[in-house]
Amino acid sequence: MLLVLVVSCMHSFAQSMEKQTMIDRNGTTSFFSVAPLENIVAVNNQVLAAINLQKGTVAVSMLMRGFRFKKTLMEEHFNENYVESDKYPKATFQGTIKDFTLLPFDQNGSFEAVVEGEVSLHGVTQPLSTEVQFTLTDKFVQASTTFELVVADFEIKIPQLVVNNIAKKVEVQSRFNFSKKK
Amino acid sequence: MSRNTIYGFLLLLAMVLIGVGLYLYNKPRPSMEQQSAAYTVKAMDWIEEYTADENAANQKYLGNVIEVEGEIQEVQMEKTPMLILTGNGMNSVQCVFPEGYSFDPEVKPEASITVKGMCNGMLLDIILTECMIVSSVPEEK
Repeated sequence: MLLVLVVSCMHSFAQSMEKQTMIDRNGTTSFFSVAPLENIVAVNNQVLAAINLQKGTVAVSMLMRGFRFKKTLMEEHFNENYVESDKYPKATFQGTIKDFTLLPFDQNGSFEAVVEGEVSLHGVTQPLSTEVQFTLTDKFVQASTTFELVVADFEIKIPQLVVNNIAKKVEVQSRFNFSKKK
Repeated sequence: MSRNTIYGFLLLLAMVLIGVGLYLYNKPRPSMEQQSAAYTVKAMDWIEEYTADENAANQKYLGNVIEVEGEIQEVQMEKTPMLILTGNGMNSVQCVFPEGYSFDPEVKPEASITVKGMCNGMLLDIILTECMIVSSVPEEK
């Protein structure tokens, strides 16, 4: 009887340790935009993300200069003309998991949840709500999501000359892997 | 001037313009080897400078080639080849190498190293991309 009590105490202790903030320093965020000349794809593999499974909060931060394009020229235009990376070096997201207490974050498995919050980019903050696929195992918590952003919402100016070559909306994909080991 | 000469000239001009356009469009990424560092820093001092005033540090370093000297904490090969330089426990320097880069065997934790790369700014770690190794000293101290 006592043994059962001790074991269950240790178990809940281990669980509460797991429920602290977990960090991924090498998350991936990419964006995709359909263009007549060539589709534009850019990937950032140094995205910082934190998730707190006690409070159900999420925070993501990335450096705009971390996006790699296929063409150097696109990268230069992106940093210098569009998002003005030197003036606004970061893009961030802060949000909470909707209905957090009702979701099975205490067991292994896969499920979808809605994360609501605010995204800041190019000095502008906009609300964002997105569906996130969570996968939990003994070793890690994985989160991935896809959503669309409207370029004009963030006061990113596209010159008239190329306005038809750049989509009004871009598709953003993020994937994070939070390791449980620490 | 005959009409043919004018057409010939226009054709030549168009070809040159297309050529220049294509060259610019496909311009290769400048290799780190050809670029000299704007600043040379020590990993620990650099982290201290960045955490003290991130905006000022960004103005100085962002988008510039930086040579950083430090001790390797971790070698990662998962998504992209990467070295983490020892910092203050919370913050460190992430040196991201081009895809397909492979490290020599002496590049391992606790070795001293000098890396050159482009400064992208700081999250928890200062991030350098397009890195190359300038010199490495195996397990000093």
